[in-house]
Amino acid sequence: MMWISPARCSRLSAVLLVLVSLFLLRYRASAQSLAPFSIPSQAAARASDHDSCRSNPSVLAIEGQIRRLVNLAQWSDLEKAGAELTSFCPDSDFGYHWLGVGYLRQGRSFAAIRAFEESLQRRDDAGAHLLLAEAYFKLGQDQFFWEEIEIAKKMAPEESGIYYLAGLYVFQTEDAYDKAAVWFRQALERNSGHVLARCYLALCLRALQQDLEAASLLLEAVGPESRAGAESVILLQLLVSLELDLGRTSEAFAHATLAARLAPGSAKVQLGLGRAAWHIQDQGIALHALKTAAKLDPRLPDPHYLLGRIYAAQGDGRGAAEELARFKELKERARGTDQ
Amino acid sequence: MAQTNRTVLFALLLICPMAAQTIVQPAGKRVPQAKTREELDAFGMILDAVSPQSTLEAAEQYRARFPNSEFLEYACVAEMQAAMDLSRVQLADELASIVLKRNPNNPEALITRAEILIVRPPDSLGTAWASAVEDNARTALDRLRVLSAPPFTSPDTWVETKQSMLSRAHLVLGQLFMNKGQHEEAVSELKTAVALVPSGNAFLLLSRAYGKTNQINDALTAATMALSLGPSAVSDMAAREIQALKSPRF
Repeated sequence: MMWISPARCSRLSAVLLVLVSLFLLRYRASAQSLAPFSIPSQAAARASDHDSCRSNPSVLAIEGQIRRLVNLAQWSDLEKAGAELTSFCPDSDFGYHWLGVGYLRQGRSFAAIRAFEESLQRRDDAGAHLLLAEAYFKLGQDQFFWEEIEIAKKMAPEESGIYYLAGLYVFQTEDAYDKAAVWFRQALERNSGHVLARCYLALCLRALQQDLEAASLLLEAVGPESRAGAESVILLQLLVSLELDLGRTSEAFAHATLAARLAPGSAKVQLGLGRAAWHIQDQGIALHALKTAAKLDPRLPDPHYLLGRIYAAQGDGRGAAEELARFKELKERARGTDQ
Repeated sequence: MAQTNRTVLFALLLICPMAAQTIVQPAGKRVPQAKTREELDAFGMILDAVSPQSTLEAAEQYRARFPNSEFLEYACVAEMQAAMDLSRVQLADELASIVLKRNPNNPEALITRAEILIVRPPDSLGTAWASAVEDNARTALDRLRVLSAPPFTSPDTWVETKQSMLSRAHLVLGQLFMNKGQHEEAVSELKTAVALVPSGNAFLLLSRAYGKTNQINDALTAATMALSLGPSAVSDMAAREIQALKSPRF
């Protein structure tokens, strides 16, 4: 029973590891331990051994529910379903695996590690090793992280998610952009559609002052406008920022407009459009986009800074002062220096 | 209380190593590293504990099993918080000493030490206890002021954690000034404490400080806040305070 295929791994690592940066503070303390699990149902009492357990219709129903919950990213319910399944079938690597994912996505890394270890005791699996690596990543544990990456690499050398995670670790913990870039390139060699690996490689290239290569890397993935989809938004955001730095203001504006069309409800996308519009001196679009960004995410400082500059340019000193004061307040709050 | 303490602990886990990396930047300073997976799991058991008693037990076991662990300071902080929750003040004080020996700037230990001293002034310190309280609280405030949000941390969680600790330090200073009869200073500290984290206890003290400075309307407002915020023991005292403030004597 292959519950987490390499392709599945790739989707998981690509989509779910966005949350990796949440780190330890997201770790919640309530009801952490693996035992006791939820009260076994009547059907659980009937499931007396491993084989009968797996063929039990109730088990099949829980497994189906787990797959649905994973797709819906409902982590708390996934934890409950995983716990129910392991209570039902104590030999279920599948149950422990997804119980671990439920914990991990809620920031409960220690409990996740225990669940993944339980899963691995029942069946060795590259996906579980990769998730275990992610849990050690969250806890900043170098040795154990790299041990798990090495095991996962040996078991599934073509799995791009492994190289992506390794690159992300180097990127975030060592600031070693050249080393991280090597990992991201390896991820892209295995899966050129790995959007986050591409984005992080572009960030590495920017840090290494290879802006032109970064721009072509992003442009290559965005492709023609007609092909752009939701997954292009993050690429476009990076591209807009890069093009503005390179002085390619009209390209930046075009890409920002496309991103805003694809994701009109994203505050950061609207901010990018506002910034690009400001650079091409289109104050009307800039004002609208920046006000939209501020409305969509009232905690975002940058729209207020740009709004302040626009008001100042328009001679509205009072409006400018208000926006800049708001910017300062939000910036300090984000830094945690307000009292 | 336990939940807040845990939030604080998690913040501390990040504050020390991460802040050292981003502010002080000693070479190679990083997140504490466990030497074995057993050590890491045992540390996780402290954080996973569902009651102060089980936190205390897990932390005691951890300290016995892994006396050289890089996580030891944080295990002691967890144990110290659990001891405070269980009103085992003597133990909490001993643990604060251990933490401060390892890291004299640990804000949680400094604040806890100040909280213990303000409630139970030790005979051994004589009149010096007041300056000990103030030193601990002010050192904690100084330390907290220079700490920025650690990398990868949600700003909201960080602000919440930091505000909680700042509020506790100001509350201790407010209590200290009340004890010393410096009521204007007490009002100032307690106003800061409630602005950071509105708690029934702090509002009750603020009400008393306002009362001492003849600011009766403000005293009534603060007591009403204390009454509504609770917990029940504080609400009861606040109700009596309100009655007294409304009496002809005022």
